[in-house]
Amino acid sequence: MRADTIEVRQLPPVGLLLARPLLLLICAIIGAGIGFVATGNGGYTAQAVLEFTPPGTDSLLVKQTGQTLARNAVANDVLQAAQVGELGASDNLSGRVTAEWQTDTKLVAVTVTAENKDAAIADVNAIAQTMVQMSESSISSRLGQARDQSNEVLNSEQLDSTDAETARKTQLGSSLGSRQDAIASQSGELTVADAATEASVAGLSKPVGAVIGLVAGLLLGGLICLLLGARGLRARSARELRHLVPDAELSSPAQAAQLAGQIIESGRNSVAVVITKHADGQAAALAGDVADFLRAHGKTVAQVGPITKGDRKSALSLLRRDVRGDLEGRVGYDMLVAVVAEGSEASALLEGQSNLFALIVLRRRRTPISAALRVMKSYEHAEPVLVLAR
Amino acid sequence: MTSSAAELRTARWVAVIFLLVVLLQRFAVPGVPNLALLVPAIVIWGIAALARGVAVIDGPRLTWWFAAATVTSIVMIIQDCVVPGAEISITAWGLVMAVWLPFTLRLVERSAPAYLAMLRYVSVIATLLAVGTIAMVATQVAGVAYRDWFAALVPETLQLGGFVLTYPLSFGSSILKGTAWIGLEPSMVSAQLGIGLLAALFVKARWWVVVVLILGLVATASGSGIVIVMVGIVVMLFHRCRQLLLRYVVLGVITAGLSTLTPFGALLLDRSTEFQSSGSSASLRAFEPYSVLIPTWVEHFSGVLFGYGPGSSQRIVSDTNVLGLLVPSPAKVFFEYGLIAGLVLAAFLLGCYWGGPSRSMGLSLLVSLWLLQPGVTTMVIVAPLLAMVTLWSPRTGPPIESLLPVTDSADNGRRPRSAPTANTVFAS
Repeated sequence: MRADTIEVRQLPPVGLLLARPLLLLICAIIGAGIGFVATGNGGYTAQAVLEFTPPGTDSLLVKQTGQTLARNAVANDVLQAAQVGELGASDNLSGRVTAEWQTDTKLVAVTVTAENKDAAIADVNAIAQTMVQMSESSISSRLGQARDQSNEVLNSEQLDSTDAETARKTQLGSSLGSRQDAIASQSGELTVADAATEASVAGLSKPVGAVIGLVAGLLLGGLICLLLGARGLRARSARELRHLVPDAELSSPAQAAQLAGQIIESGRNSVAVVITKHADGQAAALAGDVADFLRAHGKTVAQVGPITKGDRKSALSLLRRDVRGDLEGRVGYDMLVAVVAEGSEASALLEGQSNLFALIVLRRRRTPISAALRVMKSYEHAEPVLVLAR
Repeated sequence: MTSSAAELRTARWVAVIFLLVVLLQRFAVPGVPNLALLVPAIVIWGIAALARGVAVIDGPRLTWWFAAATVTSIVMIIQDCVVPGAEISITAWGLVMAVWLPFTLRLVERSAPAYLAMLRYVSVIATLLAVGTIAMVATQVAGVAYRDWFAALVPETLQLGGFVLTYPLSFGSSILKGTAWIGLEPSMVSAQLGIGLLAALFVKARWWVVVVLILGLVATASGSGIVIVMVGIVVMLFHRCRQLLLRYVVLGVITAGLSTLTPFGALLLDRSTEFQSSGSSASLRAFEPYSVLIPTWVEHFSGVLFGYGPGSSQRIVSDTNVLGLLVPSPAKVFFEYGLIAGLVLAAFLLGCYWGGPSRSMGLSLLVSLWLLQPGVTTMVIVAPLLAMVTLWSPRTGPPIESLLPVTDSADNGRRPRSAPTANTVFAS
């Protein structure tokens, strides 16, 4: 992240996130709305489960059988058979059917997506039944084929010896039985283990979509807050300022007496009350209050200003370091309270010095945070106090 | 290069992460057998570190985290609308974001002495893990049948599921690869020992520490840690810190050579070329996942752009029922989130490898986590990156590879009476 716009300091990320609650709220609401509208339109999905009997116990064989069945379930001939049969499947099944072997089981799950619940249930059950029927007819066909081949061999010749012919027929019958048994066992049984009875929303449901949208909106709002930094941010409350400038000392005009006490304790004889944008009246009022309290402590106070931009003469005559160093001798006062405008020559004369007490006056909801931070940076050696005024 | 109290405090805090990784890797959150206890543990660590002033939030990384979380959450809604067959697991997305949330922190004290002090703690922890690994193998070789003491002592609801805890050394062998009983898998223990060995080289650990760590690595019969050490050493060779390696060359070669005479070492030697073999562990980690996922990924253009949903790559890989087949980080990022959101997420993840005090650690973990490990959501694999690289980024001076061995200028002008040892370097 590049430096903040004011290029003075990087603001704490948590403070930035909390500084624009309205933006976060709007983003969250819009996100939730978009999520609600955009999701849950994918129709319904129903699932039927087929159970197969594998032709052995080897896990690889089970896996191969399961995966073959899953592949067959989406094959065109199965879908065609389901569509043209009496089982009630709708047209155009292609692309709406998926099948998956359930790892380490003898189960294959067939899933169908359709525009409504009933169609999804009917379609998936039709496909499952078609699979079972095709499996049964395949076994029946192979058994019949074996029988026909055996009959053909049986009728193709006759031995002269009656005993030999009887033995031949017995042997052929026995051989057919074994062959049919092998076909039956190798083919395995396929049944519908769990027919579909209900359908659910395909993909994300609308409530879930709304929640995702809400979270996405909040995150987007947070991202915007972080990227914007202090741009356009104004001092709204002391709490917000504490989050944004946690290391700054905060005060308010109501604490003028306390500030006066602090100034006397600091031993400094010059007080700079700095006017930030839109805080002219508030700064002058604070300076008056502080000066009164200083006088109440027995000090003689010279209150000057507001000194605005362009008033170079006042700045040089009153705020020079040598004058401030000998206030009593030069102007006959114990202390000096000067109200100076941000960006003025007077302010520039005082910036960067540590032998004065700086009060930076911000106006609630009017003064940009960036302006306050810029002034804070200028007066950092004077350990400035931020005064948030109405 | 001595460490101040603040530096030692930071080092201890970070070493706790590595200790948690070693000790908690088989624990699950009670009642959630697929969620590692490490996930909330590291998040709690982060909160505690923030509260105690050890760490602060790193603005740039937090912004990248927000960017990644934003685009990946928005893309889930798009997937539901336009990607055929998308399977969206919100918990899988939440896990990614939760695992990487602590990566938005950075330490307040990030000096080289603090980092080196932390490496010393890590080498000690790894040495103890190596001792456990060697003990597990030695008892089996001595004829004592392996018993999973962790499973016997810890309630089942606290045991993490979904991992193959250990493997036989070879088909039909009754000896299992070393995991020190507490390790989640041999490869993960190997990676932890590899990090420990690299740390030991930097802090000029005693010769027997290095030998124990090498033997521990061999006892796991896994290449994950060896890759970390090899990459780290290659990076060290390009810096002046290569002088640190001199004292261990003979020792390392002898130990590694003798190890190849054991079945474990012989197996590792055999596996050095297994990248080319289909079905080998290295191939299942580095190559085959792509051949499984890419055909599905390119099936739909919308899927390429927006991905098939959080958690979808793991489901596809699991459905193949191939033991050991993993989802490497790039495959997961781009398959699940597509090119657009995937690029933002990848940028954030890759940024977490950047700017640490040790280039060797950063690059070796990058190779390991991006090419050979499921390095996005598995906290036991990801957390060492946090401890060794990200928390210390951006570094405050040159990388330690350029600072070590300690010189006059790097030691605040104090001339050391003799070459600094592990003990003198870290004397507080």
